[in-house]
Amino acid sequence: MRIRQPLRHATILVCALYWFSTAGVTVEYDPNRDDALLACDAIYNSGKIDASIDCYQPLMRQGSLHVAAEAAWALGETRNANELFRRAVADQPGNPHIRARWGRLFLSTHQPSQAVPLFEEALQLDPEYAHARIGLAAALLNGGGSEARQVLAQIAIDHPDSVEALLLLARLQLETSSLDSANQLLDQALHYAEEQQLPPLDIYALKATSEMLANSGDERWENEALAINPGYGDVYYIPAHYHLINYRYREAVEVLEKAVAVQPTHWSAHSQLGINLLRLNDIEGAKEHLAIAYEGDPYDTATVNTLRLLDTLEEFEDIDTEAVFSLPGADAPIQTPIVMRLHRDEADYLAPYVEDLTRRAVETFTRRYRFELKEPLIVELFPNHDDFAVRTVSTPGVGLLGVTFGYLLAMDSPSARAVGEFHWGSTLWHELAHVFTIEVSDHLMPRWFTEGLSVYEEWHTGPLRGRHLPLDVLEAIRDKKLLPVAELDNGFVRPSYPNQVTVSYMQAGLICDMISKKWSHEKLVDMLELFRDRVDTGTAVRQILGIEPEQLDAELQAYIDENYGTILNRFEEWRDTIASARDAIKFKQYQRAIEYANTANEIFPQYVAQSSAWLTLHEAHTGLGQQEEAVAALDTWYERGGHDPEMLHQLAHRLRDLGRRDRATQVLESINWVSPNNIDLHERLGKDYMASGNYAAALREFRALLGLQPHDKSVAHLNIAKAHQKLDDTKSARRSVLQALEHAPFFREAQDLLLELTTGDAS
Amino acid sequence: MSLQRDAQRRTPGRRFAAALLLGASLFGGQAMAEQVTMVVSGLGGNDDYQRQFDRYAAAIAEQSRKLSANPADTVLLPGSAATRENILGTIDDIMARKPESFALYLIGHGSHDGEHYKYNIPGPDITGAQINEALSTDFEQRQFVVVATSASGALLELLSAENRVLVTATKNGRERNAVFFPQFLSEALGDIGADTDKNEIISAEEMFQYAERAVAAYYETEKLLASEHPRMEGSFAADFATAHYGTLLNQAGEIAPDLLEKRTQISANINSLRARKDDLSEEKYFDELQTLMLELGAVQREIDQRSSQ
Repeated sequence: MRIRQPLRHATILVCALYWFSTAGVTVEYDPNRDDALLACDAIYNSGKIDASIDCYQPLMRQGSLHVAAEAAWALGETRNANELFRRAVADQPGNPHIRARWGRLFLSTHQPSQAVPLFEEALQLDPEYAHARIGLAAALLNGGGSEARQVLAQIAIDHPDSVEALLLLARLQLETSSLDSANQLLDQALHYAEEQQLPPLDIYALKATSEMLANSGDERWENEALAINPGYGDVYYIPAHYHLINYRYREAVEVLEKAVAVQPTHWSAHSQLGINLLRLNDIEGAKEHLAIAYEGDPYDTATVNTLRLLDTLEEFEDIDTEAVFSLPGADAPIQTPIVMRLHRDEADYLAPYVEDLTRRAVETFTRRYRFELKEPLIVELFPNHDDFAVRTVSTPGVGLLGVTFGYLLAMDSPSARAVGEFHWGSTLWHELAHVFTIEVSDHLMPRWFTEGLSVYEEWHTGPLRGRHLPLDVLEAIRDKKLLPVAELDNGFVRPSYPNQVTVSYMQAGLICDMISKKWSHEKLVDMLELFRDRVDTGTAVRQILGIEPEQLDAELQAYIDENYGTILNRFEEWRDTIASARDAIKFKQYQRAIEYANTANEIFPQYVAQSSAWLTLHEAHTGLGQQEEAVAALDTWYERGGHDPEMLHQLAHRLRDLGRRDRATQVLESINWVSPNNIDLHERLGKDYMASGNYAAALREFRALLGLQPHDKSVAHLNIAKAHQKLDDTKSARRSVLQALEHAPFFREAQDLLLELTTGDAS
Repeated sequence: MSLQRDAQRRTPGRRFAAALLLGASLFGGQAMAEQVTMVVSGLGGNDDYQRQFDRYAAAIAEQSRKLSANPADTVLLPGSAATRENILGTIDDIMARKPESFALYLIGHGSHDGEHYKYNIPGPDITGAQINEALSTDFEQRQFVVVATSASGALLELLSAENRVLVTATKNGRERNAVFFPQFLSEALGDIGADTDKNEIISAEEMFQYAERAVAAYYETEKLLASEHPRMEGSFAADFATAHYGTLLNQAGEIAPDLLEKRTQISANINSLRARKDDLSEEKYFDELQTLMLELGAVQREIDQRSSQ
């Protein structure tokens, strides 16, 4: 998964969104539950759904307001329940229990932000009220904050017999695959549940989860749960979440199918099944289950959003292609089918680049990871970011750039964001690396490792030069905020400070980079393969690298000191120097600006982002009329990975003025990976490639130009025809020139080319 | 390996969508017929605007004069000459001549008070109703009316008529800022790049599309919120000539009738083939198109050769 720095919490949302919000739906841990409700709960928990409905229904009319609210909630009438709770709270404003239960209702309907104030109000009335404290912790967990974990830990101390608190803590352990700790907590929960005569269904579901994560094949807990309640779909629905956060979509689908089989009215399971079938590219299956989910629960935003997305997908085209290449010693070339799913408005101009990069990536990663893809690779690019967000997390408004679901990856297309806002080529490369690392490890690698490898591949084999560490990451490194490698997954799953996800990405990338340099790239692949055996990070490090994880942490520190020691030690000085250089430019003190910029570049030459000293240097030399030096500075910025499209255009223009046409073409070409929807760019590149004899590249550029719907299509068709002609493809050339004439029958140049192509008369 | 050879689209329905304008009739036909053009540059309000408006109007008039051998077929009313009396009187005179077609360009500032549009000129302004009244007098021939002023979109409903193509610089009367549209309009008439079908005639549609794109690009490049959205209404913009260039310009009225006839016939055949495109296999369509295009090319070369003798 690839995220943008300012919106880094999005990944957490993915993990937690639909788990804690649905906690407690089947099993109630309400300590003050009315006896009448408990009687109905018992019937429900035994799987007698119709009988439980008959039990709850009278309570809606006969009970007190808050009992009626509970009954309505149990019957799925959440709006009615909400209104009844509102009236119950007005009726008994000093009752913390009713407020806490109202909060639980919001929690169960995916609205933690609405739940939090109610829990807080309940706690104002009774600061020690455990049910409200646990509810608050569960709501806060949706935001991924460490505060929630601290609250939970304290509750467990204050109320060691709280089954619900133990279950929440066990879930946190399961999220990081800490199975031993989780099992200990679950065993305690079982003990107290028996003592308190609470139904053990949720505990069994989490026990089953633990067995699934351990791949033990032991189905004891599922069987135990289903013996109590044959319609208890959560025994499969709950484990599905843990498969999902570990990228095991196929496994998630398998258990979700079981969930809806035992409980056909489990709308959330149908919804998740539909969403995850879509992730596996089973569009028809997805439609079927989402339709069922919508029928049963039309208010589930994930269902509604995904159904809308399915409508949007009608506007996309599937373009089939393949990567074909040979490996040394192989009998036959490898052929990997690729499906590019692009919006019809941008398919024509994007497809050549998506195809080019994807083919290169497939060949590169097949070699580097000793792995041939087993299924067609599907690459989706969304011009509307919210469509992409729904595709990935079923809700709009998140800050992700790309996500990989195994053989299917989805990402923002370049037009989804402002020009130059992201280097889409790097994002695609990053996601394509995930396809391999996820599949090589059979979806069993730790999160940090797959992200680290993708970042590492971006740096070493991707379309953008250089390693790019954001400044806030450098500050975090300087402030000793990196996690031990054995705990690095926590930085992704449960960050404890604002930019920790980004920091963890970069740390993971640096670890992989360091392993590759100190040991070898092959060791990284060995580790990846070892993760297939469900080993943890510590075991992989010991077995493959022959050291303890703590030693790896020490090696990383040494590596960072070696590569970033200067900037880390002189960070403030560098920042001040950059600012002084900019000030000097402002006052046209160009010589002084050059001196500052040179100093800044001595400290941190890799920095090419905003206010890069290379750009300042360029500006200062330009101000002094030193064109050669100005171009040299800009060229160095580009060489080190600078990719602001406006500056790249400027560099290309200046290089052309200096007669360095090949370099200018190279610079222009690089703009395609950051801002390809520019008619002038493709026209210029197409002409350059024609002039330099690279007709295949010229053809690609003229096609992209045509895809951008230029004002004069006939000229684009004619240029395509000329490129085909140069490539000795007379048939295609003839077709293209006829297309030019179809637009412009009196187009003399096209008429002449047609004559030449059909008669060989070039006069 | 290239995309086209090995990439295969699975979603059908991507068709050649642009209207094909084979200029058979206009190239040899009505382009040569009498077309009268009137260009007015309104009140600038300051020297800069006045100079701009006069320059745009002069450029449009210059191109219009090339449409006809008769200089009297183009009338330019710049600056102080653009009074209400002169404008309405000139329109009356032209209408009385009953030319085959009439093109009217109003360049300058316009205003709209929520109810009435006014074209700003020296002396009393002309209202939209007055323009409409002048144009609607017993005249069934084709009219091409361009109101390239601020707030001109207010006229879209009022000036719509069956025999008229109407172009406005804005989409409604609320777009009241001074417009860039006339600048790009005048550029379009002098830029062969506007002639996308390469028939050496810049049609009203090609002119509009060029200017519309240029306006959008201007606001995009300048990172400004677009305050003008040109509009065009009417059915014959594609075959209404607004400028000529190339061979046609040099040879106006001198092309041998037999060649013109031949070219007209081939163009008609191409049109006919285009209409049958969906009924033919792709291979057959392009084979037939090739035959016709080669014939057309041969005729065109003959015309070119004769013109160079």
